[in-house]
Amino acid sequence: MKGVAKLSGIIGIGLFLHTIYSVLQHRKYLRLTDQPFEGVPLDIIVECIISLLLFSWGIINSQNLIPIKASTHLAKKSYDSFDNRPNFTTFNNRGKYINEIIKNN
Amino acid sequence: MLHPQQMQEQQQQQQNAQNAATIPEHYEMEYIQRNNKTIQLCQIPISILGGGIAGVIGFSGLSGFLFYFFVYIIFCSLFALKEKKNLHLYFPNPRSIWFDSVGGGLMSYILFWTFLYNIIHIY
Amino acid sequence: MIEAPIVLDVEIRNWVVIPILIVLFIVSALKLNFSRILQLKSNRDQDVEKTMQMQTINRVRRLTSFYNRIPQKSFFMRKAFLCGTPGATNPKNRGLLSSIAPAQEDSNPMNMMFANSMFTDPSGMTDMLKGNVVHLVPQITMMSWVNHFFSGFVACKLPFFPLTIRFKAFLQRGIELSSLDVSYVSSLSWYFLCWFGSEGINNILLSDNFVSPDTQLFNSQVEPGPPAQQNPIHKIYDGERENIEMIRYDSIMNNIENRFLDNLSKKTSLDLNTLNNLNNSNNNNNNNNNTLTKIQKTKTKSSSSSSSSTNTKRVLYQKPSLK
Repeated sequence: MKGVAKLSGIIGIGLFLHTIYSVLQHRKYLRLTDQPFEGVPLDIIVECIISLLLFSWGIINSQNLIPIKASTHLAKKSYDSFDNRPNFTTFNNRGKYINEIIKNN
Repeated sequence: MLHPQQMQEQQQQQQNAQNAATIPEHYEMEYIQRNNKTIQLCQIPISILGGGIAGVIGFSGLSGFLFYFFVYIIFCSLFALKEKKNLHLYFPNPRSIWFDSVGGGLMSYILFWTFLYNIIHIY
Repeated sequence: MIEAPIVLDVEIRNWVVIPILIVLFIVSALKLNFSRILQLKSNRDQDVEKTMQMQTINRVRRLTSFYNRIPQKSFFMRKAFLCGTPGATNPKNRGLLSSIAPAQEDSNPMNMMFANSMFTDPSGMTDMLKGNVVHLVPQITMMSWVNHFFSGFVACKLPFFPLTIRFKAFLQRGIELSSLDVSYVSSLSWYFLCWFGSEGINNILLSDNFVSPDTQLFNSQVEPGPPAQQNPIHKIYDGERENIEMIRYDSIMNNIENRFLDNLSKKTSLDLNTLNNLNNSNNNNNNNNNTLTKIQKTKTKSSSSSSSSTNTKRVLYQKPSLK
């Protein structure tokens, strides 16, 4: 689902760039043939709107929201991890002496 | 004038009346902020693209600002469509997404609107 | 538009409009990173006493908001610790929140504010100075850059409705043409437009990336204190102490079994309105107690007169005993 959403976002951007290019070309063509400019042609407008919709859909669906209720997050934690307090961990224990003894033997 | 203690009591009674039905929910401010950030993350690119489109089509004057609101409504309705019924899981006040960040992407919109309008229709 | 639109030179686009946009983005990115580095440096040393006071205030505020979730005994213990026993003469028994004697009161409020805000500790001053330097200097430099190199011609046209004629002097700085439409603006206005517009983009591009919730929980165990206070600390303490003394303890767990059962029976009753109302609030209960509700459902089906009885029950339980 996320891959599809990202793909549609990219397609939206691509379509938008294409519309820029085609409008520029349209204006150049009008200038060369000496015609007055009377608004952007309809197919380009439709393409713009499609690209906007695709891009919005893509970017909205590629985002994740987090449930804000505290209980939903606490429910996932096990009781052991909830009771774990990293601030009170001590690293200064007897392990190093034991290590020395093991090495010496 | 009531004594402060009495006022407190009254408040507590009101609270109790509310509490009687359910335990009040505890929201995590951090996640609320992060969800708001996510909305911003969606909204600003969309308004940038909307500004670009407004520039390409060549809106000028009031119609450009109307188009901004059109883009905003598209954004909100897509958002509501995606989350349909779980919106209250992510926001303490689900309806606020419709009008909370109306002006959020306006400056970016105007920037890109002006930029593309100039590139395509002026030069 | 009746008058013929002005066609601007393409060179202006290539050498003015686009460079200003790009340079502004780069400069704002640099600015953000630079200020982050400065912040990291300034956060290194903090006053121990002040930190302790901040932590105490945090703790007291937590107690005032969540007092009804702890047992009565613990609440009163905390209250005695923070506010002291009433009528105690021994200064040891007066509690944590009245331990700080008010400093010599300065009659001039301005003096007091300054004394507590920044002049007492020089780090606040330097922080402010740094912030100013980081934000102000690039802004001024960029403005003078734009003004110096790109003035004297029309850079772009604003598509939105032209502002009034008064803005002309500001928007068309360096173009002394009285008949020119106001919507044609010089490069300085384009610079301002870029500046305001780039803030939103910087917000999403350069802000901190999201951290996954688990690591966030781990990190949040070291909580930052409330921002530096303008008020003197003993006044905050007094206010918090009064808040605590005002609390009339009433546990949230009172009557919990009845309320729980009541919720269950409400959910199974066929009244659609209450069902909808409860759906929002009870979602998390729902998952845990699915099996229970099923059992309850079968019971309600079997007894036809259950709806009336639950109604009376609900009225009874909604009024918890007020002692």
